Amino acid sequence: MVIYLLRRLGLALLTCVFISVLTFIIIRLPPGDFVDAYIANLAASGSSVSVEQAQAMRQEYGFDRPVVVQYAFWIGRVLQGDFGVSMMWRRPVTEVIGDRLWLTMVVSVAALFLTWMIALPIGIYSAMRQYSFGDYLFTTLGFIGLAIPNFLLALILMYLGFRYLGLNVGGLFSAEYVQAPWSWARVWDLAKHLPLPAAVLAMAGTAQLIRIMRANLLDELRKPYVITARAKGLTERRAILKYPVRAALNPFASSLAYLFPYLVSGSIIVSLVLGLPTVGPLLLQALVAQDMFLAGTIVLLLGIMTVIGTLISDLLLMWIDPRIRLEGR
Amino acid sequence: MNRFATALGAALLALGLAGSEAAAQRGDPQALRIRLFGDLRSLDPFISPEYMARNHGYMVYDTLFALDARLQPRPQMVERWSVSEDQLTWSFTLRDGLAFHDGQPVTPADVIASLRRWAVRDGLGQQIMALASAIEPIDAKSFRVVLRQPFGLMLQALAKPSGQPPFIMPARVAATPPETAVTDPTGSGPFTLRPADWRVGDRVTYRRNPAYVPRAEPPDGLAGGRRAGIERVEWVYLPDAQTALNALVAGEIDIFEELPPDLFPIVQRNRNLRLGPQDSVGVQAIFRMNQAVPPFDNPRLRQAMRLLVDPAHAMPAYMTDPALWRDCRSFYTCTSPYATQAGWVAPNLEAARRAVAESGYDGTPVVVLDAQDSTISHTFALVAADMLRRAGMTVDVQAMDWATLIQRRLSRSPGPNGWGLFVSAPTGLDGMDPSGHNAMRSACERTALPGWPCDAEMERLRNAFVAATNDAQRREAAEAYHRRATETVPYMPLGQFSLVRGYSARLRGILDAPVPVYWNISKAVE
Repeated sequence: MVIYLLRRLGLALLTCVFISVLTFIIIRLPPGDFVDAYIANLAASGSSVSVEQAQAMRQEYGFDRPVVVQYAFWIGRVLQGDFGVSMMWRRPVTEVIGDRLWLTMVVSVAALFLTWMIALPIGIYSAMRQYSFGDYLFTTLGFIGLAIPNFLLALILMYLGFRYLGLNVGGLFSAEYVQAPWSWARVWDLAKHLPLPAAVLAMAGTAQLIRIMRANLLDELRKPYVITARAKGLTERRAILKYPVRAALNPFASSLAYLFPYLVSGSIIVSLVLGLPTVGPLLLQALVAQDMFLAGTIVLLLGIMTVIGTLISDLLLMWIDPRIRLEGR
Repeated sequence: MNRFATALGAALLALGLAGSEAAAQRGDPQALRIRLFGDLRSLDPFISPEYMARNHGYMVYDTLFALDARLQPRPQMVERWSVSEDQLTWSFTLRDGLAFHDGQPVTPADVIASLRRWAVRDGLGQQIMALASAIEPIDAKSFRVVLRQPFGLMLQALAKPSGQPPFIMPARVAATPPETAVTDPTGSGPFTLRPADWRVGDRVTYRRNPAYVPRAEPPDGLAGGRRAGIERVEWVYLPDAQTALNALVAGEIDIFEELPPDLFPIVQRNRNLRLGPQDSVGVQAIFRMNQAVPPFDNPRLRQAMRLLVDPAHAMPAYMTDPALWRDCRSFYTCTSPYATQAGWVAPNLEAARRAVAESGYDGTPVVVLDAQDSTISHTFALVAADMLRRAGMTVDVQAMDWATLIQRRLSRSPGPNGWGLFVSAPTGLDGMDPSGHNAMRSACERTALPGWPCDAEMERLRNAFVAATNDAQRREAAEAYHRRATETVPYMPLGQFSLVRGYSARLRGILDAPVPVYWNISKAVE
C-alpha cells in the first residue's frame, strides 16, 4: 500500500511539472501578446505608445527573452510563491485572485455534496424499484436537468428567488458583507447565498450520477453474492447498503478528480450570469486580454487541484473498494 | 418523512430569512449602486484608454476647468484666471479650500506636476508643452503658463472632458513615471477611494469626501458645485445584462448604464424605474475602412461609401426610438459647436452602385469584422455588410469577439486573414472638433494602427485649427478639415445615438452632463 501511495505521489508531482509546461505553452498560443493588445486599445482611443515604450514594456514583462528562459523565469518565481503581477489590473496576481479561489472551492464542494445528496438516494431507489412510476419520474426529471442549459436554469432560479423569496440577485454575499473581513456573520451570509449557485451547478451532474448509480447498482444486484447474502438472512437494508451500494459507489469517488476543474471551467457562464466572485470569470477575462501571468496562475492552480483531486479519489477508491486496495497481492 | 419535512421547513425558513435581509438592504438610502458598462481595470486615467478609468477619474479627482451643459469651459478648481494681451501668458489662481483626500492642500506644484504627466499622453497637452516656455508657480495659490506663441484652445484643453481629461493629483503621485500606472487613488474630488475598497472584477466602493468644498454655483453639466448627495457610491460589476436588469427591478442596483435597447420595454413597464440618456452628447457609430489593403485602398471606392452610408437606414437597426438617435450627417458630433455638413454628399443607393462600379472595384471581398460580444458593433457590422452587398460588393463577414477584433486590427495582410471594415462607437465627446477627433486623425501609422488614414493635408488643417487664436478662425479651420475629410473619407459615420440608462424612480438630481457622473444624486426615502 505504501508503494502504491508513493507511486501515486511521484506521478502527481510529474504531472504537475507537465501541467506547468503545458500551461505556459497554452497561454502563449494566441498570436501577439499583452503589449500588442494594449497598444491596439490605446490606438482605438487615439493615444499611442512609442516603439521605445513598447520595448520597455516587453522588457518589463520578459517578452523579449527566449521562450525557455521566460518559462524558467516564470516557474522559478512561482516556486517561490511569487505569481507575478496581473498585466490587466497591474496588481499582484495573488491580490487579484484574493479569496476567489476559496470561494470557488466552497461553491464547488457545496455543488458536489448537493449532487451526491440527490443522486445517491435517487440512484439507489431507481435501481431497487426499476421501471416503477418513481423510477420513470426521477429519470425524466434527471434528463430535464441534464438538458436545460445551466445559464438558463440560473436565470430562472434567480428570477424565482428574488420574485417570490426576496433573495439577492446574484453574488455570494449581501452588500454589507462583500467587503467585510471574515467573521461568523459573513460565513452565515455566504451559507445563505450558496443554495442557488450550488443547485444550478449540481443539476446537470446529478442526472449523470443518478444514471451511473442506477446502472452500476443494477449490475451488482444481479450478482450471486447478493442472492447469497439474502439467502443467509441478512436484512434487506444491510444486504443492499453494505455490499452492492458500496461497490457501485466507485464512480462517485472517481468523479472527485475531474469535478473541481469541471465546475470551474464549466461554471464560467453560470458565474457570469449569477455574478459570482469565483475564478471562472476571472480566467475568462485574463484569457481574453492575454494576461499571461494571471491566466497562467489560474490554469496552473486548476491543474494542481485536479492532480490533488485525483490523488484523493485514488485514496477514497482504495478505501471503499478492496479490489483496488488488494491489487497486486 | 417527518425528518424530510423538518429539513425542508428549515431550508425554506433560511431562504425566507435571507430574503427578508436582502429586502432590507435594498432600502439603503446612503448607498448608490451602479452597474456600469464594464469593469474598472486601472486607477490611472492618464495611462488607461478605457472610459471606466476616465469615469473613475471624475469620482476621485477634480479638474481646473469643466464643461457646462452648453459645452463651454467654466472654472472648476480655478477661482480666477487671466490672459495677457499678447495671449502668451496665462495666469490661474486656485480657489480656497481645495485639499487632497490625505488632508494636504492642493498647491500649484501639484497642478503643474499633474499637467506635465497628463501632457505625456494627451494631444492637447502635448501642444501646450510644445508651445510653453515656462509653467511655474507664482505664489501659494497661483501659477502661470508662458507660451512662445498664442494657443487659443488653452481653456478647452484644461476642460477636456473625455479621452484623457487633465485631472489634478498630488505631485508625489504625479511623479510616477508616465509609463507606470498610478496605484494611489488620492485625489481632491468629491469621492474618495480606499485601495481595499477596489475588489477587482467585483465592485468598487467610493465614499463621500467630507472635506470637499464644492463651488457655490448650482451644478451645470460637469461644471458648478459637485455635491456628493450619498455616502457611498458602489460600482458593481454584473457582466450579464439580464442579471443586471433583475437586480435593477429588485432594487439591488439603482442605475443600469448602457441598457441594451431590447430591455427598454421591461423598464418602461415598471413604475418604479425610469429610462433616460446617460449623457448629453451620445456616441457616434463609426464605419472604419482599412485604407492599406484592397479594396478600400482605392480612394474612389471610399468616396463611393459617402453615397452608400445612410444614417436613416442604419440607426433604426439598433435604436428603434427616434428620439434617441439623430440623422447626423457630419464627421463631428452634431451637438458640437463645430458641427458642419460642409462637403457632405447626400446618400443615394443608385448613385452609390454606379460609383462603386466606376471606381474600378474588382470584386475583392471586404472582410467585415463582426464582434458578437458587442451589441453595437455586431448590429452595425451586419448593417454595413448589408449596405455593401446592396452596392454590389462582395462581403466576408467574420464572427469573433471584441478581443479578437482588436488583435485582427493589427494585421497588415490583405485577404481573409486581414481586415477590411469594422464598426466601433466612441463617445461623441471625442468627435467635437479637429483637435480631439481621434477617428479623423490621418497621421498614418505614427499615432494609429495599420490601415488607419494617412493624409498630410488633413494633418496640416488639423494643426491650423489648433493654432487658430479666435473662434472665427477655428470655425473656418474646422470646416476646411471637414471638407477635406469628405474627400479622403477617413471613415464613415453611421449616425449619432444616445446610450441609455435605466434607473430607480427614487433617484433625484441625476445630471445631464457630457460624461456620466454621480455627484448631486440623492435617494428619496421609500
